[in-house]
Amino acid sequence: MRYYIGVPLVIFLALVQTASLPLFSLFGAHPNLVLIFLVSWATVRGETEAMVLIPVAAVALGLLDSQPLGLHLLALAPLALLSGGRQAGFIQADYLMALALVFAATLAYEGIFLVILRLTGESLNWWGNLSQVVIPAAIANTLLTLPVYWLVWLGSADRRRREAL
Amino acid sequence: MSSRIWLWLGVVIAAGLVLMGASRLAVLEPVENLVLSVTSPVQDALRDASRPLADFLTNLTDVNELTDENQRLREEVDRLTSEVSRLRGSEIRLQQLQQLLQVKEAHPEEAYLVANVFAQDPSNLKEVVAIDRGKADGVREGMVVLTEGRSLVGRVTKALDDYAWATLITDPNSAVSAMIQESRAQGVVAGSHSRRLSMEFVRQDAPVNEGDVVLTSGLGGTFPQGIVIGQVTEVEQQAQELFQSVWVEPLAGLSDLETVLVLASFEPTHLEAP
Repeated sequence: MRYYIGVPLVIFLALVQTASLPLFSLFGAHPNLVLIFLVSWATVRGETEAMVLIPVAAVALGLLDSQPLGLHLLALAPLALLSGGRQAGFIQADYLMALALVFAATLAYEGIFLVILRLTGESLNWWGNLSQVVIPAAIANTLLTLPVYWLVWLGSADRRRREAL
Repeated sequence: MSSRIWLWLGVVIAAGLVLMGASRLAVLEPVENLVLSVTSPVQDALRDASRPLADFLTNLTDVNELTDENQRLREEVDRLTSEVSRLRGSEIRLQQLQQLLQVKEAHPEEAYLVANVFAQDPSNLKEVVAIDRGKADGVREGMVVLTEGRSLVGRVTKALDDYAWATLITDPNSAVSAMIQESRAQGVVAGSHSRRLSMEFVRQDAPVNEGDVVLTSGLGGTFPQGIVIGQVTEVEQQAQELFQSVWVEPLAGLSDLETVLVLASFEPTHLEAP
């Protein structure tokens, strides 16, 4: 399972993200399935593959939503840094690492999104955004990480076999 | 951390900035339009397929029955309240005109475009929906979007050739000049991060009660006068404050829009400061 599955899958998830996810909310925030998937992929399969999938996901999201193309690219870019930090091994269990990374990645994603919106001239209530959008989104995404992580882990038998050798 | 990641990060940030610049110059609009043309049927199907699950999670008990009934009742309330409000508004307006001018104002014919909502901006920071009508159909930025019951949804903020993005009145950056129908008290209805509507700048001495209907006032020329926005659900007055805190429930079911009307006959005016 590499790019020939990962790329179509991430494009499909971007479609789901724009079409279906806005109908669901947890703690008042729409979950970010694409972000959860990318972090899970990076945790299970390494950042090399994630470095290909992140731009694909960002461009797909940019073409499908109302934001300027490139905004998602900037907001998702820190994912590679965060997943690269996984090699430092602060947390031993990969699923715990995925949970922590999703929380941190959501804060980074929404934070960068806010800064760019501000720089492009939108007026923002920083405290309101932080308390009512960013933190609830981080909690919602973290809670939804385990099933996504588990599915990516199940589909990564090739990777586990290679690592076992 | 390897230098490869830093190099990748540099390239990605540079590409992101270039794409943002190109996007702001509208260079990429044809590509966006093409992508939406190809994907909108898929998005439509995904949205329809997800709706039952979303409804189920929203109403864990008596799922379909309650949801259908709620939807039917909401549409009925929407239609009736709009009708009552329209009649009341017409009556008040007629009286004013008869008293002041003794002439009857001729209402211009209003033209609508029916559009389907097929996607929503996934960002938690924005409340924007995609509709399947664009510049080719006559949709222009600034046009007002209504429900089928003629209550306010928002306005078009980005128009592509065949599609458009409409910002909802619940968007944190949305502001609509408004008035209380009964007392004619003026204010500004603003969106918020909690997706609730508040009516700002309502003077302390202005009579406002729960259940009052809130209409667009037409001030500023962005929205036409007399469109129903919603009903007052909560009023809070504090002696030390300059203005009242007024909360408004939008009449339109903005979380599950399917079909909307674009008011094509209204041209917003852009007033320059003197």
